[in-house]
Formats: sequence, C-alpha cells, structure tokens
Amino acid sequence: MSNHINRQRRKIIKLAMFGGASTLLATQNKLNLIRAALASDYSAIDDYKSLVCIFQRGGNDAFNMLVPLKGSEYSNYQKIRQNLAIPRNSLLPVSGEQFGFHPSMPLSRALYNQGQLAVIANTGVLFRPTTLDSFRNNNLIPPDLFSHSHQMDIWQTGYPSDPSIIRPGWGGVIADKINQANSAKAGLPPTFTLSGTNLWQSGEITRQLGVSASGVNNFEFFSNDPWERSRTRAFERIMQMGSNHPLQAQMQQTLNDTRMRISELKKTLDQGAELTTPIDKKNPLARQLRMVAKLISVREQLGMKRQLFFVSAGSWDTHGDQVQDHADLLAMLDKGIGSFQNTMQELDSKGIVSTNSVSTFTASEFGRTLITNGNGTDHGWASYYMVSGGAVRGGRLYGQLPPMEIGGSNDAADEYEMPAGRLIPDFSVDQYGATLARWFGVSETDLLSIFPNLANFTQKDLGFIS
Amino acid sequence: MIKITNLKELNHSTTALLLVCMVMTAFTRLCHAAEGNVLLTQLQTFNNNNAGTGQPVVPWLTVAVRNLGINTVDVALERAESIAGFVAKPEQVGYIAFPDALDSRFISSQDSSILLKTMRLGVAGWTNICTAVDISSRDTILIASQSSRNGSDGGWVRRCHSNDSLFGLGIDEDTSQDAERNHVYEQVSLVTFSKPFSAHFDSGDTSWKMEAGQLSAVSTFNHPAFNHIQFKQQYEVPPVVVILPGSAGPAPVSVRIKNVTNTGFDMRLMEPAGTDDLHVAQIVHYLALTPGIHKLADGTVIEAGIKSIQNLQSGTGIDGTRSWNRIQFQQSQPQTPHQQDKMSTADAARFLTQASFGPTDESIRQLTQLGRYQDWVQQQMELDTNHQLQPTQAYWLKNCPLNEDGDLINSVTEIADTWEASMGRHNLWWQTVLNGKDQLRQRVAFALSQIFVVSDKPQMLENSQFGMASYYDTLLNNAFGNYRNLLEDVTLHPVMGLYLGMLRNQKADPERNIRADENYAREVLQLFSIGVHRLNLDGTLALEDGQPVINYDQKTVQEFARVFTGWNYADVDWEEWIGDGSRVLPMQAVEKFHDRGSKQLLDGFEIPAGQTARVDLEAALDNIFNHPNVGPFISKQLIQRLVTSNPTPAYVERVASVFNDNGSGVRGDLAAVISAILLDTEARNGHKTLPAFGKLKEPLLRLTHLYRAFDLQPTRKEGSFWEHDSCGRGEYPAYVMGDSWSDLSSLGGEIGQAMLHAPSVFNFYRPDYSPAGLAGTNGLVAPEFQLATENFVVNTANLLNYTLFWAEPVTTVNEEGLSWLDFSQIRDLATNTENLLNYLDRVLLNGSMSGQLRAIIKQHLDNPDFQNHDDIQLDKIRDAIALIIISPEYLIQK
Repeated sequence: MSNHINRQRRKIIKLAMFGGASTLLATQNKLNLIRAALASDYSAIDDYKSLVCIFQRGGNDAFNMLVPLKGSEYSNYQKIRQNLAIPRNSLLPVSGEQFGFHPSMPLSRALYNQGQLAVIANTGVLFRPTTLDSFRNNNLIPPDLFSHSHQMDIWQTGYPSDPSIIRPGWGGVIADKINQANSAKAGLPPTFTLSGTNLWQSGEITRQLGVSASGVNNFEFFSNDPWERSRTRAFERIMQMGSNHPLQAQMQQTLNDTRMRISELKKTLDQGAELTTPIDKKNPLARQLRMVAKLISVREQLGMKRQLFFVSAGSWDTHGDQVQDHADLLAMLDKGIGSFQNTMQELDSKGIVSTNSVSTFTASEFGRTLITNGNGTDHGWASYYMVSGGAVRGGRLYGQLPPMEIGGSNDAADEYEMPAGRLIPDFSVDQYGATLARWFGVSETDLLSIFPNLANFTQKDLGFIS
Repeated sequence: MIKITNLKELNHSTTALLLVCMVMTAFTRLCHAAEGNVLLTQLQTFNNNNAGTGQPVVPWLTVAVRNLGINTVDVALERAESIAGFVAKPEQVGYIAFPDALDSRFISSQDSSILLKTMRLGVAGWTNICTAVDISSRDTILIASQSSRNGSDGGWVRRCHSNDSLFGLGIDEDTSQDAERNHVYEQVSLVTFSKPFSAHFDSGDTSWKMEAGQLSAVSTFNHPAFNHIQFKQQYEVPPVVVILPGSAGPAPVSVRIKNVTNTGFDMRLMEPAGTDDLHVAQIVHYLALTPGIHKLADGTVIEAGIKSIQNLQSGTGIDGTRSWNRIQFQQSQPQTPHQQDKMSTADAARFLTQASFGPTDESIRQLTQLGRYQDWVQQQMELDTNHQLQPTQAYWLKNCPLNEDGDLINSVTEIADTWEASMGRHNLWWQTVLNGKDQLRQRVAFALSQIFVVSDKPQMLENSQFGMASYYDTLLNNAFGNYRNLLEDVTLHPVMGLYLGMLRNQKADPERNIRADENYAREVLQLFSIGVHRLNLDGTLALEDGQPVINYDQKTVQEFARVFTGWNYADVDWEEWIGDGSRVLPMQAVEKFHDRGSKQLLDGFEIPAGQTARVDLEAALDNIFNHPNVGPFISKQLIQRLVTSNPTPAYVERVASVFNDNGSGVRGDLAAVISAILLDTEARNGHKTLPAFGKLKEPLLRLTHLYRAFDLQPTRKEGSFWEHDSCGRGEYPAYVMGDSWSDLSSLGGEIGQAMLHAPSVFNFYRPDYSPAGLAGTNGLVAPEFQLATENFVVNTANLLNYTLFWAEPVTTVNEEGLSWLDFSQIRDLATNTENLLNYLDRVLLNGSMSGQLRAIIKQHLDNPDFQNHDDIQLDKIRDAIALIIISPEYLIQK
C-alpha cells in the first residue's frame, strides 16, 4: 500500500514539474502566436479546402474496428478479446490482407481499396515519444489519462485542461488565422458545428456557428412584413442596447451574431442546388454530413476559401453490450462516410467542388483497453483514426498495428497496477493534426505554435495527405 | 456627479461596453444600494525585505481583503504570485472604514466645503477593461482599495487611465509567475473628495485631523530610495495613510510607505518580482487620517485603525499556508433603512427565480405575505412530494389495462418497461413543474439531475421510461436528505447501473481476460463527488508545490471498480437469465461475482479482504463521502444551477462549511445546504454588489418560466395518449406546442435540453465552460452558453413565440389545438401600457426592467397601428412578452 501512496506522491511532483514547464510554454506560445500572426499571411490563398472532423464521443474501440488477419496475430487478438473478438471469417480484408475492417464497414473498405481512405495506426494524446519506462517515470505524460473530459480537452487543444486558463482548440486557432483567406459576409466564421459547441473549433477570436442537420431557421415573428415591422423595429433596438453586465453583453453579442449569421446563411442555402445522392435519413452522422455537403456546395456564395466542420456522434463508450452496440455505431460511421464521399463525387461531377479539396478525419478522445469486462471494454489510450477524401494518399496504413500483449512493453500500466492493455500511442494527435493542417495550408511556423507538442517529434508530417 | 464608463475597447471582436452608473441618482449593475462599509487599506510599514540591493523587493506585498461586512472584515498580507521571500515579521496594516454610498460634506481648514462620497463598484482586470470613473472636476481626489479576493492571483487596484475628466480603475496583477495581467472582477471600495484639503475637527473632548491630495511619486530610475513626504498639517499621533497608485509605466506597480510619523512618511513606487523595479514617475492620490472613531457634523462615522498582521495570501502556483485575520470594527455602521423594509415583490420574484421553476403573480404574493425567505424554504421542505413513477404507472394502467398477451394487468409491478411511456413521463414532469406546489424540491431535483446524470439517449434507457421516472424519484426523495444516502441510492439504482455499467459488473476472470468495468468507479469520483483535483474549502484548486494535486490515479479507479462488482437486477438470476430485470428495484448483490480481495481507496484507506459486496460498497461510499472535496465540489455546482455561474470563493466556502457541518455536527445535510445557498447574502444581494452575478437561463427554465407566469393550458385530444396499440382510446390532455414540436417530450433536438436527456454523463454543459468573448476575457465561466449555439438560440425563441402568437384558447376536444397561455388575468391591465409593463416587469424581470427596455417596448405599444387590430389588448400583451423574453436582460437571470 505504501508503495501505491508513494507513487501517487511521485506523480504529483512529476506533474508539478510538467506544469511549470507548461506555464512557461503557454506564455511563450502566446508570444509565438502574436509573432506568427504577423508573419504568416493567408490572404493570398485562392484555392478551396475544407476539413471535416468526425468525432466519436466516448472512446472508439479501434482494436475491433481494424483487426490483424495474419494467423498468429489474429489468434493472439482472439485470445485477448475472447467473446468480443470479431470472427475472422466475417472481417472484411483490405487489398494485401494486412488487416480486415469490422464487418459493419464495407464502404470504408471499398474507399480504402480505391485509395480514398487511409488508416493512421496507434495514435493518441501524447506530448513526446513515450515508452513504458518514460510512462512509469511520468516523464511528460498527459495528465488525467483515461478520463473522457480531460482527454477530449487535450485532443482538441493540445494542452491539459486547466481551469485558470482558457485554451482555444487547434481547429479554432487555425480558423483565427486562415480566415484571412475568406471574404465571408455577415461575420460568418470558417467553423461550422453540426453537433453543438466544441472545444476543437473554439478560437481566440473565432466563434463557431451552430447549425442543425435539419436546416437553418430564422428568428420568426420579427420579420419585415408590414404587420410585424413595428415589433421588429423594437426588437432591433433591444438588440442595440448596451450592457455593463459581462454575461448580458455576451448574450447580446450572441443574439446579434446569430441574427446576422443565420439570415445570411439561410438566404444562401435556400438558393443552393439540391443534392440528389441518397442518404440514410435515420443515420445521424449521415444527416450531419449531408448538411456539411450543403454548406460546402454554397461555399462560393458564402465567400469561403477555407472551412472547418465538426460532426459527432456519442455512445462510443462501450462498457457493456459492445458486440451489438459497436457494430451499430461502426455501421453508422461507415454509411456516414460512404454517403458523404458519394455526395462529394456528385459535387465534383457538377463542377461545384473537387473531391480533392475536402478531407474528413475521425477523432475520439481515446482508444480502449485490449482486455474486456465480459461485455465491453474500458478507457484506453492509443486508437486508430481514418482520413478520407480525394487528397488522401489512401489504401495504406500509416504506422504499424501495435503488438497486442497484456502487460507488454507498450501497455501503459504502473508496476503496482493490473495491466489491461491500454496501449501507448506511437503517433501524437499533434502529428496527426499538423499533417492535416499543413495540407490545409497552415505555415510551418504556425504549425509549431498551434500544436504545442509537435516540436518534440521528429516526424512532423505523417504523409497521409498531400 | 460620478459616472462610471468603460474606456478601452477590448482588443477583441466584441462590442465595446458602455458602463454608466450615476451615484445617488440611479444604480445600475456596477453600483449598488448602500450596505455597510467601504474600506481603504494600505501597508504602513516595510518590515520584510530579503532582496539584495537594486533588486525588486521580496516578498512583494499588498493587502488582501474579503468578506467586507458591517461589523467585520478579513484582512491578510497579499504576496500574489511572487514566489520568493518569507514573511518573517508582521506588517502594520492601516485601514479606514466609511459608510457606503455616502454623500456628505464638511468644511476644510481652508474654509472650503468638501464633498465626500463613497461607493463600492466592480472593477475589471488590468488587461481586460479599464473601468472609468467619470469625475466632475479635475481636482477630485480618489482613493480606492480592493475589497474582495475573487481572483486567485491576488491583485490590487490602480489607476489605469486618467485625463482631465476621466479617471479609470483597474485590478493590476504582478507578473512573477506569468506575463498575463488578466483578472476577474473585484469589488473595489472608492472614496472621493471634491478637491485636495486638510481639515481639523474638534468635537467636544476629541479632536482629529484628515487630509487628502495629490503627490508626486518619483521615478525609481533616478531615486531608488524611499522619498520623504511632508503632511500638510501636524498630527498628534501618526495618522493612517492610504495611497492609490497612478497609471504610468508599462509594468505593474504599487506604492509602499514606511516611517509614518506625526509630520510625514516615506514613499516609494514598488514593482513586483519579475520586473526590473525601474518605474517612471507618476501622480498618486493619498488620504491621511487620525486613527480612531470619528464623527462628521452630519453624523457620518469614520473609523481608522492599524492592525499588526502576518497572515498571508498567495497567488496560484504558490505553495504555503493561507490564512486571514479578522478585524472587528469598533463602531458598526447603522444598517440602512431598506434592509429592515419588508420584502418587496421584486425581492420575492428574484428569490423565486432561483428557488422555483419561475415566479408567478400568485407565488410572489404568497412569499411577500410570508415575509421571510427561510419560512418559505421551511414550508416547501415539508410539502408532499409529487413523484414521477407512481402516477405515470397508474395512468398507464388506467389507459392500457392489457399486457402483450392480451391479459389483464393486475398490478403496476406487472407493467413492462417501455419507450412508449416517454410521453407520459415528460408530460407528468411538465404538469408537476408548472403546477406542482413542491417547487423547491422539484427545482433541486432538476439541479441534481444535472450532476448525477443519467440519460435516456442510449437505447437501453430509451426503452426504460418507467425506470427513468423511478430514477428521478430517487433524486426527489433525497433532495432534502443526506448526500450520503443520495449517493448510495443513485449507485444502486438499476438505471444508473445500466447507464454506467455497474449492473452485472463482475470480478476479474484471468482465464477469460476479463477485468472489472471501471466506468462507474471513474465517474462517481470525477463527476458525482470529489472531482479529479483537490479543492480548497472555497472551491478553488488546492496546490502543492504550486501545482494541482490529483485525488486519485488509475490504480484507485481500478480498486473502486473492484468494489462495484457483483450487483444485478433485484429480480433475475445472474446466470440463468441475462435479459431485463426490474428497472425500479435497487440492485442486489450476487456474492459469487463480487471481488472479495482487499482494496486501497482514497487517502490510503483500505478495505480488508473477504467482505461482502454490500459491506464493501458501504465502506467505499463512506470513503468518498468523507473526502474533503465533496463539500466544495457539490456546493459550487448546486450554486451554479440555482443562483450564479461565478460564485465568489467566500460564498462557496460558506455553503461548503454547511455541507461539512450543518450546525448539529451532521455532514452532507442537503436541506441545510440548499437553505445556505438560497439565504446567503450573495444569493440575495449579489445582483447589487457583483458585476457579473447571475447565469444564463437554461432553455428548459425559459420555457417553464413563461408557461408558469401565464398558466400554460394543455390541449385536449381525442385518441390514445400512449403510442402503445393495446391502450384504450379516449379524451386526454396533452402539451402540444406546434408542428415541429409535437409535444414537450421531444424537445431535446430542438432546444438542446430535455429531462434526463443529456448527450452524455457530462451533462448538457460543463460547469467550467467559458465562452470566448466578454465572459472568457473576464475569467468568467458560463456553462449554459454551451447551449447558446445559433440553432438552439433560434429554435428556443421560435418555440416560445409560436405558442405566444399562435395558440388560441381552445376548450373543446380538438386535434388541431395547441397548448395555450392564459392571459385572461391581465387583459384589462393591457388597456394601460404602464400597468401592463409593471406587471410583466414583476413576473418576468424581477422588477429590474431597465428604463431603456421599458421605453422601447412602450414606444412600440403606443404605435397607433394597434388601433387596427381585432384584439388590441391581446396583441399588446403578446408583443410586450415577446420583446421581453428575447432581451438579454431577461435571458441573464440575476
């Protein structure tokens, strides 16, 4: 027991050392940001690109999404996963048979084989290259591992959560800078969320725009129709009232932004072309992605050269009933990505936007344990992510499928803990994000300031997109 | 006349603020009605300095103040962020207390009439906003001190801007730890004199002296030593001296003095560590006053004293113990008359906004007649509870008497749980919160449902609507009970068991590579009880070596996961039947699947091996319950749900102390905690004294408020209330809100919030969410803004307005009918715009409607076009309400 307590104590101190560094880093980073803002100019961008983040809230069990097929590797997987293991003959092998997709994912397999989808193996929240030794010595290990909220914060910002500092997300900081390229009307930001407020798109100055998958509505009852005109005038005067209360002023700003943004957006969307590619209307991800496609289709009218979208679906936290639930979730993801890529083909064939200019990437706060609780799996660390689109150098797996061994050399467990197969990532989310951001047009100097841990890794581009 | 205006535009894409506050004529948010004291403080000595020559002083000190009350105040030395330097000797802290909101005159030795005014105001951080005091004359002398310690990094007040007629105040911060000088709003005591003076007062056997004016604080570039200042007059004893630093120079700076004598003192500009301590010259304002209790001719009492203090406060990231020294004023300021007034309707409405699902004309009247908040709370706690499960089941049984096989159902226990009861569950909740008497219990349960989150979003619980109703009953039953019981009832509820995986969680099985499920173990610690990091009693982060301390690690989570093994449905066998069991009965232990090994829990507590699942569970919940974090962690979140997003640490500490001990030695008494939250001086008066007090109204509370204020009437339909085939048809009441909002049970997708329907266990919003913009820049959290996305903002407004404008009273059974608001009580009022607005102000805005909003609505209602309407009164009522409920001053509950 004393060993355990001593370890806790040691963790505190190690964390303290890290925290100190982080504070300095933060200050330094702010200065860098200011400098970079002066240095990098994005106003000359004249092509169109957008990034679509598909967030799997809850922690996706990537180890059941992709399964190694080689005899010994598969039998090892099966031994560990027991009743949760996907039967070998039901897996969907990719060309070359390096691995198989979960049986719910035929469209992803097809995109992969067509070179439109890539898999990035064994990636997660990571501050520097990490081994089991450095994990056990707590050497710059991300704090609060395995906690949903904390890992989601780090995934989306690059920094540990800290109640005393408000961190922007890396998508938001990119938006702050790259918005120079846009000439959007009505204060429309480059960031659209189909799934509520998220940290990833929260910039220092950019406020994300929330849109429902079902469409955009104006404030009703405040129109310029003759019988409402006087009421609308009063409404507008109320919207111009000053306030000395910060929350009240914030709400006023929110209402004014909303009015301006929504009316412009609705006007533009109403004039947009109908999209005919079929989608499953019961699939929430497919519906969100359909609205993304609509927003992309009117990007010229909106004055957008760069856009960042956020869609998400919850319930990936499969502690129980994983066999059925995870299969359903993966089917939703697969159909969502599949119908979105088909819609992009439609836009491409209509000459509205090239498939090469839109890339989707998956995200999830962490992977899961190799070990099961009988019905499901627990919070892990490393995961696999998928990118798709015309610009992706697909049909490849980047990095390596990790060795699966409970208590092995990549299993993040302290000596006094029962190991559970929470695998240490090979790649950092910072590397993953920076690769996407570089394609998006972010300058090298800005990449280093936006992704605080990127400097700690030699490989600054994972090569899956160009 | 003094006016507060905002000066700087934020270097942010936000609209500039205009802060206007005219003393003695109108009080707005930054100003407040008179209440007790203002207090000026200044270190009179310079006893501690460990720095070498030419180095910035260490420890660098100012004075920290909090809990400024009528009789007492807490004072300490403030070391802020500076790490170095040990406070080896006490310092003498000088303080001068004036009555607040003073408007007094006296005659100076120069035979001038000097106007003396005092006020308390909120001042923003140095790099946030310069809060300007607009003065009538360039001769005005202003002295100010910080009177709160909301920001964890200390801070002190300083002039941030001045020209001939503008005078700004800001809370400066030292940069010893980091470069930022952001700071949350602090309360500042401000004393102004219309011009420089010296005065000599003789009243009977006492005589005393006072003077104020401007001084030149010399540049430390040229004069690193203290500079001697001569008083304008000679004092019988050394006076108390207070100085407000000026605005010049890019670095943070304060003023230190020493060697105060009958004739003068030594003064020096002092930069904190992290700077070069070279600061440019500037004008500072000072006040000197004979210590003691003095009376002006008009009876105004001024108290000045000196206290020797070694207690220390430090900034974030600084190790060391923190403590306060309480100063007892010898002469209490008389309470201002309004405090003895009986409760106004505005006071009552404000209270009911926090303690119910919205004030109504009737509930306001009842509370004012009762006269005391605590009596209302007491009454509410004794009322019968409106439960969810029993009436939902009874209603089902009445409508749907047959089971799936077509046989008659004999008792409620035979009703199969189903998604088809969803509308019934929601309908009942709406009936209860709109019409039920047990408002406080319902409101607290609603708050608890956002802490102990379960959600019927996942399919397994979507299919378990009676189970959801039963879970809500668990929250209702424990709302005024003990937190420890609540924790246990929640832990053992099968709905929670399903939601977070404790149900059928089994001990490790190495053969099958199975480990205990960690889900419930992790979330009960992180979200339902103590949180990840250690907290001080006041809810701020506790630090060790300047860094947060974790409460538990992965190993601890694993150990708790092992505790929570071996629990199953109460009515099915673990091995024989793995399907559904009761979603209502508490889970029962199955020892075979319980891990009976020893377990190491929080703070080194160990559960011995060989115990039963039940004994282990009790011990583990006790272990959690007794962790010092529970009080501040739970108290702060309840405050955020009921009263304000940004409670001061002192408020949290007062409530958390009640959690720790209700006064009778009982820990976790939620009735006492709820009372403490609602009756606290900050809950009752925060809107007058704190510039960012309050919270954005939750979408559901916006609905309940309007529906209660105008008694939403269900429509009556023909057909089946339940979507289940076997249910009989007939006439039934339902809340139907419009085309796309078929009923109040399906709001989640439209407005972002519905009962027990959060996106995840992290609720609809996180307690620490801080939106970019003014809130973020000012260091404020505003959880509900997480739902203020464009789509939800628009949809919520449209939903409310749809009912307001389209729903007509329908008394017959009608398929097309919408639920409607009943305006019959106020139709007659609407013939007079002022009367109508007074009524709406009372029930919707707690009597706080601004003159500007009133003028805008009045102008619209006086539009002659209304004369052409068929129903002038009704249309005026509708328009006035629509304009109020979309206004930011309505949307922020204060």
